[in-house]
Amino acid sequence: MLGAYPLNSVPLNGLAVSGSNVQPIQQSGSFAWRLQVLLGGVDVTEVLTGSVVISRSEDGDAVARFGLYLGPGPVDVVSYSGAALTVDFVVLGDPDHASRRFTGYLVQPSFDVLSRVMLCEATTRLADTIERMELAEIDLLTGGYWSADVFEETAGRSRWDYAQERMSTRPASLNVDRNGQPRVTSWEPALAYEFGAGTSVYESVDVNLAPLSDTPNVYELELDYRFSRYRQRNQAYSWLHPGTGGNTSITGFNAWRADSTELPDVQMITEATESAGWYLRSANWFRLYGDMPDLPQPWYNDNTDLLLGADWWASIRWSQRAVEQYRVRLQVGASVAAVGEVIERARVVLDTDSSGDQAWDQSTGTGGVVAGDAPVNNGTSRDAGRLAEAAACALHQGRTALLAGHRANQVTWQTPLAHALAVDFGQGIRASDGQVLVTGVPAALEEEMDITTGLAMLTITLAVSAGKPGAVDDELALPAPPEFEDDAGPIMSGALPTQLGLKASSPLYDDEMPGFAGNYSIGNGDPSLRFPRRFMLITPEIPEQWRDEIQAEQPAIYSVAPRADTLEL
Amino acid sequence: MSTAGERSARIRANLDERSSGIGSNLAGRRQALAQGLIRDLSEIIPRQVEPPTLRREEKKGSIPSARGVAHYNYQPGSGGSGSSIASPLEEVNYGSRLYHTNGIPSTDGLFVYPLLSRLLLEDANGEPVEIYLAGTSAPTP
Repeated sequence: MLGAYPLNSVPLNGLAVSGSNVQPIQQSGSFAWRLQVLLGGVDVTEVLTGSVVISRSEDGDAVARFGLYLGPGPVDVVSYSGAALTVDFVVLGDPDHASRRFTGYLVQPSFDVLSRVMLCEATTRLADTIERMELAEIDLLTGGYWSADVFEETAGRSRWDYAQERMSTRPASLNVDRNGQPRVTSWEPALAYEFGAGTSVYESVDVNLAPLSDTPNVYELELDYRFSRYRQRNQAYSWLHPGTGGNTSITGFNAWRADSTELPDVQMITEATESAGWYLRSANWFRLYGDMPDLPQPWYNDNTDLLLGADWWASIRWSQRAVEQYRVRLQVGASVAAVGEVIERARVVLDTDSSGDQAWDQSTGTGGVVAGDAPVNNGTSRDAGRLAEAAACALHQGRTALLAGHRANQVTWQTPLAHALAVDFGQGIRASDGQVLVTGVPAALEEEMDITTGLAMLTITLAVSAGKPGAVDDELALPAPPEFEDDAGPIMSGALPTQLGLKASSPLYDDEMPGFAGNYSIGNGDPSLRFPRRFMLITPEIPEQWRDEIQAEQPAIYSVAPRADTLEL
Repeated sequence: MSTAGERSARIRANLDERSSGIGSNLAGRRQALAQGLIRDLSEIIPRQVEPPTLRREEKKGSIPSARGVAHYNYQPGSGGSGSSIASPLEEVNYGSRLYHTNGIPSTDGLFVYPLLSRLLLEDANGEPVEIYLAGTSAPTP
C-alpha cells in the first residue's frame, strides 16, 4: 500500500528518541507508507477498507477502528470477537521502518450484510488486564497512596477501581503503551520534543479552554480522627486519729492508749473507697501495734489491721472519645488571586473501635502518674501510623485534583504521522510554529491512516498546565495533632476528720461528717448516744467535659504549584 | 382435509409469528444498544459518594461526687460493743494459764500464793476469749 508521496524522498524525523535530549521536529517532505495489520495471527492488511483510526487517551484504553471487506463467501463474524490485533505503520524507504501503533483485542465487530464490510473496534482492554493483577502488582504499577479509611477495604472489590483510587493520589495517568502493556505516564515530564515552524497542518490548530467551574483552585479537606483516651483521676486521702497528737510513731500510740477509742481498719477504708465507685490505688497504713508484752503495761493485740492513721490514693478510671479535627486547605495561590475561589470539598473520617474501653474502665492498678487533681492519660487507642497513611492519601488526592483541574486547557493540532511517530504520553512537548507557542504534555493522540487517500495524520491534544513559574509547592505533611483542653475540675482536700462519742463532752453524732466515727473505750456519757463505728469519704466529681466526646481542631494550609506551561496564541 | 378458511388462518398466524419474531429481534438489538450506552455513561459519570461522618457518640455525662461508707459496729478484738462472746465460757486447758511472777505472800511470809495473770477460755461458739488480770509484774508462762 503506497502513500501519495514519492518514495524514499524523506529524512525521517522523530522515529527514535535517544536519551533525554530534546528532539526537534522540523517541517519535512513527503513520505510513503503502508500498514501491516494482523488479526488473530492472520494478515488482514489486504482486505482493509477505508481508514484505520487509532485513538489513544492519556487515561485508559486505546481504541482502533477500521473496516475489513470480507468478500462474498460465508463469514463467521462471531469468531472474530476477542481476536488479537496488531497494527504496524511502515514508512517505506531503504530500509523500511516499521513502527508498532497498536496492540489490542477486537471487542465489538459489526457486520454489514449488504456491503460485506465488518466494522471492527479493538481496544487494549486495560480494565480487564488490571482486574487480573494481584494487588501487590497493581501497587508496583501505579504507585501513589492508598488507605482503607479514605477508600474502602479491598476485599471483594474491583481491582480496576483500586488502581483508579491509587492513581487519584498522584499526578500521573494510567494508560496502555503501543505494545499493549499497561503503564503510568507522568503529568510533569521533562521536555522531549520540540515542534518547529511549519510542522502543523495549516489551520489545524485549535484551543479549548476549560470552563472555570472545572478548575478548582481550593481543595478543602476535613479529616477527623476519633479514638479513645484512657483516663484516670487520683485523689489523695489522709486520716490520723486525733488522740495520737499528730504522732505517727509509738509516741502517738501511747498517747492514744491513754484514752483509747474504737479504731477503723484497713477493710473499712477499702470498702468505703470502693463503695463510692473508686478503688484503692496505694496506701500507707499506720497500724495499731501487735503484741508488746515487754511494756510496763503489757500490750496484746491480734488485730493489726486496725489503724491509727492512713494516707492513701483513691483512683477512678474512665475512657473518653476524642476527635482530632484537621481542617486542611490546599490552594493554588495565583489562581485564587486571579479568578477567586473555586472550591472542591472532601471529607475523610477515621473511627476506632470502642469495645476495648470497658476493659480500661473496669481495670484497677497502680499504673499512671499520680498528679494533683487533674485527670491523667494512660495512653490512647490512637494509631499514628494509620492516621499518617490516611492523611497522606487524602492530601495527595487533593493535590492531584487541583493539578488535574489546572491542566484542563487543551491545544490541538495535526501533524504528518511519519514525522512524529515516537510522540507519546508522558513526554514534554513544545510547539512554536508561528501560529502558536505552547508547552504541555499530550492528553490524547489520534492517528488516522487513510488507505484510500494515503493520508496519515497525527492529531496531538496537549494538556497545558496553568501554573505560575516559581510558585511554592508545600510538602504535604500533616501538622502536629491538636491539644485537648480539660476544664478545671473540683479540687478537694483529702484530709478526713474524726468524731468520737460516749463521753459526756462528746458532741452529737453528725451523719454528714466524713472521716471516722467511733466511741471512746471508757465513756461517761449517755450510752444511748453511742456513735456508730463507721468510715466515710466523699469522692470528687468527674466533670462531663472530661468524659463526653471531646474535639480539638487543627487548621493547615498548603500551597500547591501546578506545572507552569506556556500558552501564547 | 382442512378447509380453505382454516388454511388461510394458519398461514396468517405463521406470518404474524414471523413478523413479531423479527420485531422482537430488532427490539432486542435496540435494547442491547441502550444497555451498552447506559453502561458506558455510568462508567463516565463519577460515582457520588455520601460524605462520611462519624457515628454520633452517646454522651457519658459526669460521674457525680459520691459518698463511700463502711459501717462495722463491732471492732474485731474489742469484745466491746455488740459483743460476740457467747455464754457459757469454758476453760479448755488448765495448762495454758499464766501467772504473775510475784504472787501473793502469806501473812507469815512462808508461802507465796500464785496470782493468775491470764485465763484462756472458749465461748459457746468455740471462739477464744482471753482474760488478762492486773498484777504488779509481767506475767510468766
